[in-house]
Amino acid sequence: MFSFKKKYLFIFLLVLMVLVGLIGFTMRERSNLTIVEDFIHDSFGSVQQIINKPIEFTTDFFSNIKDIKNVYKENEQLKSRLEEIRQLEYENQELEKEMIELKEIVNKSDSDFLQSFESIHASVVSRSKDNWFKQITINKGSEDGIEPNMAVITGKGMIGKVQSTSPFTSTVLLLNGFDRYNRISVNVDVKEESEDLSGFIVGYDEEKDLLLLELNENNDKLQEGQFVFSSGLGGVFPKGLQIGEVQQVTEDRYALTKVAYVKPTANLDVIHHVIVIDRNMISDNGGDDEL
Amino acid sequence: MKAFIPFLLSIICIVLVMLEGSVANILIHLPFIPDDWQVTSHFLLLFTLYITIFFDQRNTYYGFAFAVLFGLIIDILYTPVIGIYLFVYGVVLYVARNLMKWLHANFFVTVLIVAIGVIIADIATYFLYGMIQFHHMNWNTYFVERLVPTFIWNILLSIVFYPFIKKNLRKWERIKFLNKD
Repeated sequence: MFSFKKKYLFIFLLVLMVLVGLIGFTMRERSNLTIVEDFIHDSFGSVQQIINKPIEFTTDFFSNIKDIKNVYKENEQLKSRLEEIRQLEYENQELEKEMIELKEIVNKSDSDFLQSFESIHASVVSRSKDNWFKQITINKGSEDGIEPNMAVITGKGMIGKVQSTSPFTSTVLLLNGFDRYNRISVNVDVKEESEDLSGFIVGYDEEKDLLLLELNENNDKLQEGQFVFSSGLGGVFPKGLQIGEVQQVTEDRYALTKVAYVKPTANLDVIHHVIVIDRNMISDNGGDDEL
Repeated sequence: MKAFIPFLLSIICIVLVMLEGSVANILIHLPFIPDDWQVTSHFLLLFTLYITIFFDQRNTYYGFAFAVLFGLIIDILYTPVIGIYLFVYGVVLYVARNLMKWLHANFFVTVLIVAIGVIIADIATYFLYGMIQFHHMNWNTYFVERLVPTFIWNILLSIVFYPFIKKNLRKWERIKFLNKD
């Protein structure tokens, strides 16, 4: 009886050791998954898309019913906006033409600009079942040109970055899961000023449900209601992706820099279709312009 | 047919693991659920507990094996660390398996075991993920915003699907273990 129990204890401890090893091994920051994980991600991801079809249909159906109620009011509002948009579109075209000409004059290719990027469209397959992990799975992977650390946006603004890729699916870390290890270099747009304020998104405040922004220098021009964009200087994201709106400005612990709370413009809870941003600018070779 | 039953069970487990992810994407923005509630679905845990209660014999460990195997897949699919759900589901199923040696399988026992299982599993994940610093939630917020909604959601589902799952598992048990002629 005694030796029987001893044997079980031995097995239990052995299993525990293997588990702790496994947890330790996977806890590191890693963007390359093992082949087993790739296989599981891809096979589950592809079948999940089929399962999602009926679920999506029913949820769409109910949200459609809700939408129909507001159609008339919305239509009136949209009509009034239409004229404005036409004007903007015309301006946009003219400016684009001008920009192409100017680009030719200064002899720079597309990839020299911080703004330029190519987009890859993808759909959300699933969300982490555990709300502590702010991650979603999308149905495009390294075969479609997605690489770790690419920015992910919806029509309303940035939602996160690619955490890891498998051949046909990839995992996206949402903005509300960002911490000090994945900062975003940002600009705050100040109206009637030629220069933007620069700073970093350093994390997410879980109690307030807002992003934390630290400015590089103490500046009084930071105010509520200003918009926050990616600056393109971090070397990962292109310039000009909308991230959020400043909600509250305070000072940090030592009153040396301004700290602001930023509300993401994109809704991080309702995400069905996303765009992955493939930055054209090649940032790792050369290195002269990175200084 | 007899050899086909374990495959059937594992296919159901696979579908449930996928549903956990798909349902999470809907649960998070349902209008009648408050914004700060975190409802976590433990479909796989519920089903493997049902397997332990209605399907497993004295000398078989199907529920336990499925919980460990698909717990690992949940870890890989939905979390950045591997090992937590595997360990937690394994422990819960082991406890449930030992409890079933003394208890008779009926409705109240099932609800009791599912309730204990969900509570143990969720609290264990809270402490383990807290230990390796994946969340900084204090106990009170956890209790109100996550444990209670998760408990209600999972218990509700297990009661609603009780007759359906019981009937089928009993049927498969008869096919697999009893018709030995």
